[in-house]
Amino acid sequence: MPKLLRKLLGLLLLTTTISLATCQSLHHAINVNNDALPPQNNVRGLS
Amino acid sequence: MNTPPPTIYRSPHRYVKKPRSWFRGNGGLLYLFPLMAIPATITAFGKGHLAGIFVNGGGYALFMVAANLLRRGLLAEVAYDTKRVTRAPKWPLKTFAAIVVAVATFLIAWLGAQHTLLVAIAFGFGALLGMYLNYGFDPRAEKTILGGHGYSTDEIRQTIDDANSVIESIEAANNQIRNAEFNKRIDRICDTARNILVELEANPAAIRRTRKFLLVYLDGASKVTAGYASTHAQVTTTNDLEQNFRNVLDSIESVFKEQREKLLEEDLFDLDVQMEVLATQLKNEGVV
Repeated sequence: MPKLLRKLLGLLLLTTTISLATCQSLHHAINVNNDALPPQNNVRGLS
Repeated sequence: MNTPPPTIYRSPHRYVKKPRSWFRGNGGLLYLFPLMAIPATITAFGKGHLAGIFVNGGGYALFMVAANLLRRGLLAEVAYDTKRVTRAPKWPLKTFAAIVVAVATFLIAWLGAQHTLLVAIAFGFGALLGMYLNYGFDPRAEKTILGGHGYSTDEIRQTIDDANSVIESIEAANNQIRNAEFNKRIDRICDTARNILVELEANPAAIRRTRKFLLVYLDGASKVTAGYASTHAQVTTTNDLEQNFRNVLDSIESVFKEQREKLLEEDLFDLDVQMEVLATQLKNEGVV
């Protein structure tokens, strides 16, 4: 395999795997449910 | 009245541009690819998602470690490529970097992006393959030479490295000498010595003869120069001392040139005679 082609293929694979994994991880981090925060108080019950 | 210091002569060194293909790369891209892990970590902090903080932050840290390893591995590879006689780099840093990248990608894909285990493994394997295709793995073969006359690669490499450090010490001593004529002569001697080393690298079969020259006479030249530099710095030098040093430099210069020519001609007997003559002269001058 020519060296340039090998490099381009390697670059494509690295870009795809690393960038995709990190971008999807960011997407998941944005959409994750807020389990860690306490539920909001029911203000109607207080009145 | 203060007199300005004399101009110090330095011979110019020829600039040789190192051949470097434009797509070789220096490992800088590996710092850029995982940048998205930073906003992912910040978002995980904002959402109070502990696992996300560890996975994205830890993954990014792993990528940075890998990028650092890769840069060092590429530098070691360049050093390996430029030497004719050398061993393989001590640690396979590029291979380590590829493994760390694969692990980090797998972890982020599995725990960060919540892919299934098999898909995450595919991500890790893809990253490993990408590292191999783009940067390759480390050179493991020892660059040996034929006709080393019983000397191993390590011994030849060590001899050349030692000789280089002696030449550097001569140049350092030369920097302390404030005499343009001596500076010029010592620079010429260093240039000749470096030429001999270049020829030795090209033709390691001459190691047997050259070792004596490198170990004894180069070292002698270093001692003479360092001795003169320290005396010269402490007391005002007399004409006799300068003349003696001039004579010694003359002898060293001529023997170094002879050595180089004899190396080319491979005239062993004549070379030995020349060395004996220089040894006797150095003893008579009281410098060795």
